[in-house]
Amino acid sequence: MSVYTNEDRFSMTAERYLAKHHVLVYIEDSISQLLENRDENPKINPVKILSEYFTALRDGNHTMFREYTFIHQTPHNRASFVKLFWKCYRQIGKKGDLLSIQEYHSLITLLCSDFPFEIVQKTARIILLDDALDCLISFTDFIYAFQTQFYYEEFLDKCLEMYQSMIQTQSSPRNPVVVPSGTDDSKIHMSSHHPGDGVDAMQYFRAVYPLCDRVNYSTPPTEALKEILFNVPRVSFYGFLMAIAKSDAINEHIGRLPPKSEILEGPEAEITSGLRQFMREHFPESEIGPSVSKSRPSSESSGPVDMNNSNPVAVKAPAAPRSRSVSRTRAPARLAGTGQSSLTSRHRKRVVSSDESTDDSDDDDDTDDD
Amino acid sequence: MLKKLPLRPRTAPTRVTRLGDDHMAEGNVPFYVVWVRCMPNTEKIPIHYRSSTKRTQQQIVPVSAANVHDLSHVPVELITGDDEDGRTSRGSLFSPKQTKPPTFLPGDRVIFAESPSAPGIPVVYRTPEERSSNPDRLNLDRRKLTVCPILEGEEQLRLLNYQHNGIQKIQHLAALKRLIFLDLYDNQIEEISGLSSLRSLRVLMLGKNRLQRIENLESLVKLDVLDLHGNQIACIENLNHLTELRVLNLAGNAISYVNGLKGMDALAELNLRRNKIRTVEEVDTLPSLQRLFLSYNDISSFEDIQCLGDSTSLSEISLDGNPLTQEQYYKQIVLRHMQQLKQLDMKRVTEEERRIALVMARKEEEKRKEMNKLSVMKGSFAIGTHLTYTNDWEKRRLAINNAKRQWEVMQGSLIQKTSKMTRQTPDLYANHIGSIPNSEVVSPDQDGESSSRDESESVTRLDNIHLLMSSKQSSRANSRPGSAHSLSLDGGDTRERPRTASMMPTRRPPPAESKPGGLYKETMMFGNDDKGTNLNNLADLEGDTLTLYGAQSLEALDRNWGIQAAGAVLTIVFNFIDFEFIGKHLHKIRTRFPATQTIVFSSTNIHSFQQINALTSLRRLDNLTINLEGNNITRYTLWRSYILFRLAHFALKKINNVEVTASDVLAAEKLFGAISHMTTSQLPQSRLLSLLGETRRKQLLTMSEEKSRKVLDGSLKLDKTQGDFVGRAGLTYQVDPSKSQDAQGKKTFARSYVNEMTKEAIFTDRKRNELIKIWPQIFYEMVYSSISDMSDSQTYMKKCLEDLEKT
Repeated sequence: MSVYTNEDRFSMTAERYLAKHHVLVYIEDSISQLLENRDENPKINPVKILSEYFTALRDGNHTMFREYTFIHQTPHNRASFVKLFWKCYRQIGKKGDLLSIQEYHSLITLLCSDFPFEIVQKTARIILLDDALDCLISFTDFIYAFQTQFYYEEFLDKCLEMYQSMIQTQSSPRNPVVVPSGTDDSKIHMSSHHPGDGVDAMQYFRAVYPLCDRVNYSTPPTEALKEILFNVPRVSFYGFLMAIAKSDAINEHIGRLPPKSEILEGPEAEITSGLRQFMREHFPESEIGPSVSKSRPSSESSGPVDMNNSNPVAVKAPAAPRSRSVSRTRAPARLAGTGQSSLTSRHRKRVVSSDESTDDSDDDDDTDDD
Repeated sequence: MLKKLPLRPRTAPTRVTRLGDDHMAEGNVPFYVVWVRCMPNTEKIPIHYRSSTKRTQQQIVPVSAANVHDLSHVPVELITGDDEDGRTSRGSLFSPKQTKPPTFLPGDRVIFAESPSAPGIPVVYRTPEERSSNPDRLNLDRRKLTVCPILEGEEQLRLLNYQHNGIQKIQHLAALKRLIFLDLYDNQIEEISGLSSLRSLRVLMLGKNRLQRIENLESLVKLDVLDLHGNQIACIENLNHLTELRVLNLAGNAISYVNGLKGMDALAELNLRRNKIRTVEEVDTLPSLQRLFLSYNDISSFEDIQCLGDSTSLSEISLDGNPLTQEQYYKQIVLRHMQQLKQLDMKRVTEEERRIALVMARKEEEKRKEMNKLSVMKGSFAIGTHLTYTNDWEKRRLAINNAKRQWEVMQGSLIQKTSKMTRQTPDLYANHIGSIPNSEVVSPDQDGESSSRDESESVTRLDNIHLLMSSKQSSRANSRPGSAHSLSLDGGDTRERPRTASMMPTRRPPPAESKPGGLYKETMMFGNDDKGTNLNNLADLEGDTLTLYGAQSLEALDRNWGIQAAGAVLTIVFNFIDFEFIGKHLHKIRTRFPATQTIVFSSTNIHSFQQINALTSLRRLDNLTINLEGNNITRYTLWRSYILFRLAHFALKKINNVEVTASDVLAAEKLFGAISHMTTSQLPQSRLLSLLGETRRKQLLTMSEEKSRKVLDGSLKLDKTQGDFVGRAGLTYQVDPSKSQDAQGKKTFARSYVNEMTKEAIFTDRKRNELIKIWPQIFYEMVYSSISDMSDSQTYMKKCLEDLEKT
C-alpha cells in the first residue's frame, strides 16, 4: 500500500481515478467487443455479453487469444496473461522439459498471436548470460522471470537507465556524484577496485526508490526492494532483476502466480471422457485404448510422485544441467569481479528463500471492474 | 470442256475402303475400271465438301480428296470429248458434268512402231479418225512400256496416261505444250525430269515410283494436283513456287520432318500419311490448308505439332496411328488448340466434344493469364521422346536449383536480421543450407509406397548429414533433441550424388497404367522466362505426388489439374517455400486435392506452433512430415506433442514417418489439454462463439441446447468429444490483416464514444459537487430570508400586496 497511501480514491480527481484503474480501457474494450459480437450475431443480448465480459475480467480470463496491445495495456491484463500462461502450460513445467526461448515464445503466441519476441528475449536475459541466450530454460525459472519482465517492463527499463548512468559515472571517478545523497567516498573506493562490475546496492536503491511512487506504471513494493538491496553490498543489474523475479514477496504483491514452491502443483491434466472415446476410436487395438479409463486412477496415484518432483530442486535435477551450468558460470564471474560477497545467484537464492517480510497486497487490480 | 469432264474418279469396287486409306499406294490392288456415274451436279464443289456429297451408283462411299492419286486411275478414254476449248479453271477437273459410258477399250487403236532414228524407242501413232474423235487424250495404260514412247502428231494432247508401265525416265514430252494431265502412276521412274516444257500441266501423278527427291518442277507453276505417294522421298523441298497447288499427296514416303511448305498459298489438302514424321512445322504458313492427314506417323508429343494450333484454316485433320493418340486427353487437347476443327480422325467433331474442349481451353487460358507463366509443359512420359525428356529434366533441375537458391538468399537475409537475436542460429542455418543434399532436388518415385519409403530414407539421411555437420561444430548444437537417428555417417554427401544420377533412369520408364486410372505426370514451371536463369519455380505432379518448389509454384494449387489427376494426388510436398506463403494457400488443398493424405514440408521455415494451426484447414491428414532441414520448429522439444494435440481431429498416423502411438496422444493431451480446457470453461461464451466459424457455431449452439437436455440424462460423451475440439478453435493461424483493421475501426469508435460519455459524466459529477458545496449557503440564505420575513408579518404582507398590485 505504501505506494498509494498518499492518494485515496476520494481525494483523486475523477480523471485521475479512471486513469489509475484503467477503467476506461475496459469500458472501451467491452464496447468494441460488444460491437464485434453484434456483427457476427445480431441477436445477442448486450447485457449478457457485458456481464460475461466483466466476469471474465474479474477472474482474469479475459486475455486469452487477445491482441498484444490490449494485453500490454494494463497491469491487470499483464498479470492475468502471465497467470493464463501458467495455467495453460503448467503441465509442461510438471513434465520438466527445458525449452528454448524460441519455443517459449511460440507457446506464448498460441495465446496471443502477435506477442513480440523481444519481451521473451529480455526475459531470457534475466535468467541467462548474454552470450548464452540459446540455452534451455526450465519452466519455473521462465515463468517468474517472464512475470517480472512483462509486469514491470517500464520500471525495469528505467532501472536499466539508472544502472547504466551509475556505471558510467563509476568508470569516470572524476565526477562521482550521480545520486545526490550518495556516499561518495565509499563509491570511489569501490570503483577503484572493480569499475564496471555492479554498483553499490544502497546507492542503487536510492536511485531507484523515486521511481516507485509513479502511477503510470507498476513497480515492485519498496519494502521488497529494500529487502533485496539492503542485504548485499553490491548488485549487478541482472542480479537485481533475478532477485526481483525470485522474490516471493513481489510475486505475492502481483498476486497471480502461486509461490514458487507450489508453482507446479495443481490437478493432474484432465483426460476428458471425450478424449478417452477418441482414443478408443483410433487406437482400438492398443491396450491403452480400453485401459485409459483404468489408467486414470493410476495416473492419479502417480500424482504424489509428481508432486514430489514438483519441488523445484527436484524438477531441475534431471534435466537442468545446461541452465545450471550457465548460472554457475555467471556466479564465479561475478564473485571474481566484486571481490567480496556480492549478490551472486547462489546468494540470491538463499536470500530469497530465507527472508520474506511480505508486503501487504495491493488490490488496485481488483477494483478495476466496478 | 474440261469442266464437264467426269474426271473425278467415283470409285472402283475394290477401292471401297476406308476413306483416305492409301493402301493403293502400295499398288498391289487389282484395278478395274468400273465406271461410274457422276452426279448431275455442275457446281464447283469446294474441295473439303466433296467427300460428303459423293455418291455413286453402286455404293455410297465418301471419297476423300486425300486420294488424289485416284486421278491416276481415271480411265481417260471415258472422258467425253466435248472440251475442245480447254478451259482450265481450277475446279473444272473435279466438277464433271456428264459421262458417257465407254464404248471401247482405250488405246486399242494405237499403233506402235519403232523409231528409225532412235532404235529401241517406240513411236505411237493413232489413226486419224481415232485422233479426231479423241484429239486431246491418249491412254497408254499397261502397255509394258519401259521408256516413254515418241508421240507422233499428238500436239493437241491434254491428257496422257502412262499408268502401270515400266517407264524409268520421263522423256519425249517436250512437244505436248498443251498437256494438262499427266499420269505416270506405277512406273519405275527414279527422278523427276523432262517436264520443263509442260507449262500448262495442272495434274501430275507420280505415285508408286522410285523417286528419291522432289525436283525439276520449276516450270510447272500452274500445277494444281501433285501426287507423289508411294515413293522414297525423305524431304519436302522445291515446292515453294507452286502457288496454285491445291492438293499435295506425299503419303507413303520416308519423310520425318515436315517443313519447306512455304509459298504454297493455295494448298488446301496435304496428305502425309504413312511417313515417319516426328515433327511438323510451317503448316501455319499455309493460308488455305483445310485438310491435313498425318495418320500413321511417329508424332509423339503435342509440341511437335504445335504449329497446327496456329493454323486458322484447318477444318479436318487426322492423327490416328500416332503415339500421340495414346495420351489420355488427346482429343480434348487437340480440340482445345484447334477449335475450328470439323473432323478429327475421320469423325465429325460433335458439339459436345467441342464444348468440353472449349471449357478446358478457357480454364487453361484464365490460368495462364493469371499466373503469367510462360511455359506449360505437358506430356505423357509414356510417349515422351528421349530428346524432350532430357530437355524437360534439364529445365526441371534448373528450376529447382533456382528455387533453392532463392530460398537460401532469403534465409541468408533472415540470418542477418536475427543474428543479433540468437547467436547460434546462423551456424545452424549454415548447417541446414550446406547440407541440403542433392536428393532433395529429386522428386520421389512414382509409386506411392516406394515414395514414402524413399522419403523416410532421405529423411534419415538428411539427419545423418546434419549430425555430421553439427558434430563438427560445437557439441552444443549436437545434442539437439530428435537428431539422434541412425549412426552410419560415412560420406553422407558422396552417397547422394550417384543417387541423383540413378534417378534419371528410374523416372523414365513408364510402368504405366499399372494402377487403374494410370499415372499422371505434369510439370509446371514458373518464371519470367522459360529459358535460362529466370526459370525458378516448379510444380510437379507425378503419380500421386504433387511436389512444389519455390513460392510461385503455390499457384499450382489454383490451377485446374483435372478431376482425375487432382483426385489421385495423395501426397503434397512443399520445398523451399516460406510457410507464410503456404499458409495462405493451404485451405485450397481441401477442395483442389481432396484425397490428400500426406503432406511433407521441407525447407519451409516453420518456426512456431501457431503455424501448425494453419494445417487445421485441411480435410484430412494421415501423415505429416516436417523435415528437420529448414524448419526450426523441429528443434523444439514439444513440437510433436503440439501437432498431435492441435491436429487431434485428423487422428494422425505418422509424424515424420514415426508411428503415432496412443501414449503419444495421451501425453500430448496432458501437456496441452489445459488450453482446450481453459478455452471451453473460462472464456465467455460470446467470445468462444466468435472464435468459431459460422458453421461450427451453429453446431455448437445446437449442441449446447442438447447438452442442457442431456445433462438431465447424464450422458455427455459425444458432446465432450466435440467440446474437446471446440476448445482448440482458439488456436488459429491468422493470415489476413483485414479483420484486425475492422477491429481497429470499432476500437476507435468505442474510444470516442466512451470518451464523450466520460466527459459528460465527469462534468455532471462536477456540477453536482459544486451544488453540494454551495447548497448549505443557499439553504442558510433561504431560511434566513423566510425567518426575517416572518418576524415582521405586517410589512411582509404589505410588501406582498404591493407586488400583487404592480402586476
